[in-house]
Amino acid sequence: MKLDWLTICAEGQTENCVSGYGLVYLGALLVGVVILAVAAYRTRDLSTATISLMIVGIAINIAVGATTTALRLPIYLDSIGTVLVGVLAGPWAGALTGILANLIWAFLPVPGGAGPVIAFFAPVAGVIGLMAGFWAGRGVFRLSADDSRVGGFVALAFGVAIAAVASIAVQQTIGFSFSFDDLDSQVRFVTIGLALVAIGVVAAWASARTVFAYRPGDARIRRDLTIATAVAAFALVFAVLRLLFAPNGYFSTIDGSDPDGADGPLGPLFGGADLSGLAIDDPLGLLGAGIVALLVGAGAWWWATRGENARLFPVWIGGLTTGLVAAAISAPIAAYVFGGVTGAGTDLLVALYRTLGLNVLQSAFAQGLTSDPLDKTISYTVVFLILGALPLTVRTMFSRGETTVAD
Amino acid sequence: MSSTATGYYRAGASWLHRRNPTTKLLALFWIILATFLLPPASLVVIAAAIGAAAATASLLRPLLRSLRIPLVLLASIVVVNALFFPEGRDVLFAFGPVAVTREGLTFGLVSAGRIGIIFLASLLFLFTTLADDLLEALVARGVSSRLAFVVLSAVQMVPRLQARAYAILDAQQARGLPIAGSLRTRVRALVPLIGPILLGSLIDVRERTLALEARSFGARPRRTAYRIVADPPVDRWLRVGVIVGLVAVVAVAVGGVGR
Repeated sequence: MKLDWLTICAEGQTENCVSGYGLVYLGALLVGVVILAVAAYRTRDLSTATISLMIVGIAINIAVGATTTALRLPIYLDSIGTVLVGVLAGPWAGALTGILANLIWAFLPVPGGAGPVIAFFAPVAGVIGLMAGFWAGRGVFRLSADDSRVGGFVALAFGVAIAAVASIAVQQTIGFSFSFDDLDSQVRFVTIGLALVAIGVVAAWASARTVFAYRPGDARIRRDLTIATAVAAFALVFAVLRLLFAPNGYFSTIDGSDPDGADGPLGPLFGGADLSGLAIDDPLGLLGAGIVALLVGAGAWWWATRGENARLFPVWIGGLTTGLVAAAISAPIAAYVFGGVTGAGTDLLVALYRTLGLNVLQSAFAQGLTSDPLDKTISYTVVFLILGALPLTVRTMFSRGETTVAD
Repeated sequence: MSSTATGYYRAGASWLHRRNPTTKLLALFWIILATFLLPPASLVVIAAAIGAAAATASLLRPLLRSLRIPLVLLASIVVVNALFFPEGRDVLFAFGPVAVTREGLTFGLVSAGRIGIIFLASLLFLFTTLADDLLEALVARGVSSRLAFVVLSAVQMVPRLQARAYAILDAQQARGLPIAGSLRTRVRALVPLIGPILLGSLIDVRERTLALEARSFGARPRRTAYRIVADPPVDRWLRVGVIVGLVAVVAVAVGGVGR
């Protein structure tokens, strides 16, 4: 039997191969099915309170999501119920809520979907529920800036930061190289990756036991959260500026030398212009990015020292990471199933990214990156505020309700 | 017509209506798989088959009329891909900086065709299947009845939540909340509206839970045990490890390592 069609398509190839993002989509589908199966299996053990909460969570998802769509905003706000159930009743109940809400919305003539086809995005909803449960377990939704169990979250952020620094060090010295032909380079790549993950895990675990093991009411908590906010703002702005304006950043690749190729279809529009002048040389570029990032970090510090604002930092980190993961999973679905377009207001963004030369998958991912983190951050903040307003008796009725109660 | 509680269902006595919901569900899955895995030429055949099935149930006209729901989506798919397909080389028309390419148009039409067919098939399924019947059939096949309860209650709760939203909107307006006007006004009206809905629903959860448990919802006829054998999480991981080890041992034996 001839199996030479069983290779992944190169860019633009359509014959005798299997589409690359088709495979990724099937992978995402498999993830969704597995999550659904595990979650459905665990429904045997769900308490009546959790069942009632899931019903309300699904209804909230659909009602608020339909309202937001009617207002034609570039966000969805259809995961508030999912996050709420994930926080109060655990990750699997949250995942089930998300998947069921997605499927039910596909079947009801409630405005806000393209009809039954939005059921394809069910795996994304499931993963959002899982991540909400995970972050709640890390103490993200505790309601006071002086709470001690925030230490787990700060330790996790510290571990990630250490791993990022280590990976930069590796990149500057050994360098990441990966080639499809060389088995040795692949083995080395995987080994380095695993080592970095191990470093991050060890750093997080060690710091959680020592530096970030707070007692209730410890004054260092608020200080550490403020520092973390400022450092995160600085790092994010610095990284983005370097990505765009560094000597080997994005703008350096648009040099007008190849208008039909690397510059993308917009090359002729630039008139074969050489935008590589925007790629500022070091050390001036480094200094400029550093100063701008420092100003932003200082602003974040000032904001975090006022009132209870610092408490929102873990919430926003949870929302941002959930949004990134949601964008990553929904991009192959949108790219493969919908050809990159979902009929929402965000399609203009997709068109824009396509003109910049990104292929279908990359533009779907870029569009997701622009709207999903914002949407999930807003959802997390709304859930945080709701939990603050809920009576204690309602919160502790659920199996994981303790994670929302401060000391 | 169809309310939110009954979904898209249209009553009838046709051949499609009389089929068991699980049969129709399986057929729907087949159609979804086929549109993606078979070559694009088969899309026409599948569409014709769906049209014929709808005609036998005299649902063809409602089906075609419902195409206006995804119309914007389908049009976007075709337009965005036709104009902005980066690998497109064969230009058909050009307007200034953008051009319609043959590759882009083909890709857009095929993608839109797939979505359109899946939409039509799903809608035909929903026209002929009542949600209650579907869940009853699934429960008979082994799906947990608590899951079915969650789905049906959620379906009924959505219109109730919307009605409550209108009631709260009226109440807030009676207390002087402006809701018409600029975008800023409308956004600021959102908070006093959503807050009471969410909090009210969540506090209701407690009432509903107590009512359900008072009627022994979820009571299981399982016997309790006198001796409880502990099963800490470590044991679960150990069992996973041993099973992996079993597979590894078999693989080693079959692979002939060390022989």
